[in-house]
Amino acid sequence: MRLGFPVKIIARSDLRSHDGRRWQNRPHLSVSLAYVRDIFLYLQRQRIHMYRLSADLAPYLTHPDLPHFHDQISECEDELDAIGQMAPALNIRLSFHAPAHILLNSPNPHHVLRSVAQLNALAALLDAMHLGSEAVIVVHVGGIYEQPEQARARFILGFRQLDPRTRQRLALEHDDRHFSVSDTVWLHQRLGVRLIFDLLHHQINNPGHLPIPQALAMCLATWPPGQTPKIHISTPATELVRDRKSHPHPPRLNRHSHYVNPFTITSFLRDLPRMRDFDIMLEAKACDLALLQLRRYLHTRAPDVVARYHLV
Amino acid sequence: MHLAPDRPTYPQAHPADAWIPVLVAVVNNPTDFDRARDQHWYRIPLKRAPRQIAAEYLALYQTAKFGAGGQRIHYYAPILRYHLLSRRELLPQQADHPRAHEQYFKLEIGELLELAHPITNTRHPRLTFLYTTLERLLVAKDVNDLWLRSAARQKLYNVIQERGLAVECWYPVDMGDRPEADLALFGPHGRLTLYIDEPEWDELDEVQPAYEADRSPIHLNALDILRDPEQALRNLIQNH
Repeated sequence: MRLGFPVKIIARSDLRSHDGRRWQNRPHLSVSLAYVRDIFLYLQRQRIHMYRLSADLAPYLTHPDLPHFHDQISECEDELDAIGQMAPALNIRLSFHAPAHILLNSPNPHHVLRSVAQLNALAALLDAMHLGSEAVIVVHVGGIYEQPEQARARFILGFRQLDPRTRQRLALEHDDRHFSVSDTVWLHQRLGVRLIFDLLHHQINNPGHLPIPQALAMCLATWPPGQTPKIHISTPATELVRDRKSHPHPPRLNRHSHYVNPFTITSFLRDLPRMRDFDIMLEAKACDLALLQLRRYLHTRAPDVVARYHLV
Repeated sequence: MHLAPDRPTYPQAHPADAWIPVLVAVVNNPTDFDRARDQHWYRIPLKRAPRQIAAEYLALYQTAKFGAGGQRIHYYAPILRYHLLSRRELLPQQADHPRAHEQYFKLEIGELLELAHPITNTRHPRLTFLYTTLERLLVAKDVNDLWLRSAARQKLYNVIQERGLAVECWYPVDMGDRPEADLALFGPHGRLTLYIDEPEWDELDEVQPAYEADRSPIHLNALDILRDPEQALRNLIQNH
């Protein structure tokens, strides 16, 4: 089992996730890839074997008003190939998560076209790195709009507009508000898309009262043999939140904690029946520090979990 | 590779952009300097590349081979692109060179910008790559000022002293990665020894110290201290 974290390196504020310069300063994918190379060396040092790349790796790649940014992938063939070779050499599994504004089920056809273009671009990046099909792009179903069934069906229409190679890279995640595991299973049955189980989202949005192990098993079963599924784990923040007038409020349930609650994670992993192997993306605000802390905890307080899951 | 003719000229970066990374690299011959100035590129052999090469700016340290103008940093430039290619592709006129097949990073850079005052090197006879920030580059007078560690040490020392805590610099330790800790704090429960790490020097495998709490060398990131020394001290007191 690999543990991973998304995008930001908290322990090293000098390690950027991508070239974030504004378009006037000519940011470039190659500069982002240099940052990724440096990040890989950091991951190697920390013995971390899964990482979510920034979805902004190629700045303005599909921006309709900035055509001079559109050829970055072809301009960086060698550099993308080098990164793609470095990742498996260091045993690092890579993925993307589509930004929130990407909505394949939007009722606005122009919005769907833009979403399709951006997902195709992310898939093209992974293809140019020559990474296998475990390097996924995680997407959500999208918004509810008028009727949930119609919104769900519209996702199918949007999905079918994607390039075939993009469809092969996609993995669908249920969310904490509109579309539960059951909804994503419904979509898998019609599209064959692999599913991502998210522990916190399932705990918040589970109208069918599916037990966690059952929901997890349903998602894992959507991955072909020979591919290791990945799941998302996070725990909710519990700190008091203050508004602009300094009034106290409870945190939203879907607000991720900075560090994951180690007892929650340990219980979750201990209580699972035997099932196929999977990797875990830790979605905590402290990113790499959260992973290091959890791993330290597991090794010292839960060696049985480490042994059972062959934690890397 | 054809370089775009309309290369933008970057204005002087605002010193408030303190966290813009700068890679300081060595130029030890006029040919390489001319390439940087006229053709806007600089090369780093892949096998000798430092752990960190990604930055927004490249600063050029010219060695003593440049005579009276050497042993200084005069110029810096924005980094526009990174290429990975063979020496043969980089220098086609030397296609038969014995190392023609070796891989290089080619850093495509913008127009060279001249520092308001050159940064001299009085203490480091053999300088290789150095990682710093644009803020440090624009205010430094000596290469030593670029080392984030010394700037961070001074800032944290000042903040600790203002708090009325007992602190010493360059404290000798008999256990640890280095013979002297950057700082040592003294309190009722013992001593905290602190190492401040340059961004490219992450020797720690885990965030926690490896030794007993009252004698532990604790590693702190120089950039975090420079960003907010008060917060760095609060975190230190809270966690240790």
